[in-house]
Amino acid sequence: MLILTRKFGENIRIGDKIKIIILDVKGGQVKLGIDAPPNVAVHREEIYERIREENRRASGISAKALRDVASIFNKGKKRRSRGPTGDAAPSTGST
Amino acid sequence: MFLNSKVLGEMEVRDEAILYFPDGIFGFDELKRFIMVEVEEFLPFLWLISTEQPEIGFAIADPRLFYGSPYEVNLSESDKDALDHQTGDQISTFVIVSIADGGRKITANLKGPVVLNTRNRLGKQVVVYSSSFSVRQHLLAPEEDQAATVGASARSRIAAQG
Repeated sequence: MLILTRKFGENIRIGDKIKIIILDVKGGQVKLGIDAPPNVAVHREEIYERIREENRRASGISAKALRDVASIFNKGKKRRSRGPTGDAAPSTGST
Repeated sequence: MFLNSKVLGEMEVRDEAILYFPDGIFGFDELKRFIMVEVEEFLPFLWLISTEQPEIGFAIADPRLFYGSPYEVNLSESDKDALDHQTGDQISTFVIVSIADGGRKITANLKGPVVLNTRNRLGKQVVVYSSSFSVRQHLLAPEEDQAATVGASARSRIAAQG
């Protein structure tokens, strides 16, 4: 990894088209300005980590759990079509 | 090819049905090939199953099931490059679904939707930068009745949008 020391107001160039500007340094925080072409995605690392974590969680889904949830949806559809009486069936739980 | 998935058992997959994700799915970067499977008992959810590691499968859904106001994914230029997006291409958007608490907490990841170019079957999980979307957008309230109502209205909304 390349490590550079920069002062407030100094810049870093990555290639011809990406410029990183040190806008402010205060306490433990650094404020960066990033100039990059529109085809370069710039996001906070935390967003990627949250999505990775959520994907790992989601990949553990079981067929039974999804079948149960799907049946709730489909029950809702049927109940709706029965008419305006809104006869709520007793909750049976779906665990 | 034959594929033995954890959730759906053994199935035959035609090569032309395989979707290619050049960057994989976040956290599963090594998995590039998936199939999308529709089985009636799971509708309105679909399965996105890795052909390389068939024990890995995601439940996905139309985002309109999960979100009342319009949910639109604006693809960045790099997303478009990854999908080889050309004028006239149709891009389908799906969200990955999680279920917790024995089915009581159903959430969708609106922050990281899966987009698919239907012309060339290239797919990508993209990042939506808007702070109004969460990785765990709730779908259902705990009460089953409320859940059913949400489901029904979501369905009619989809019907209305064709």
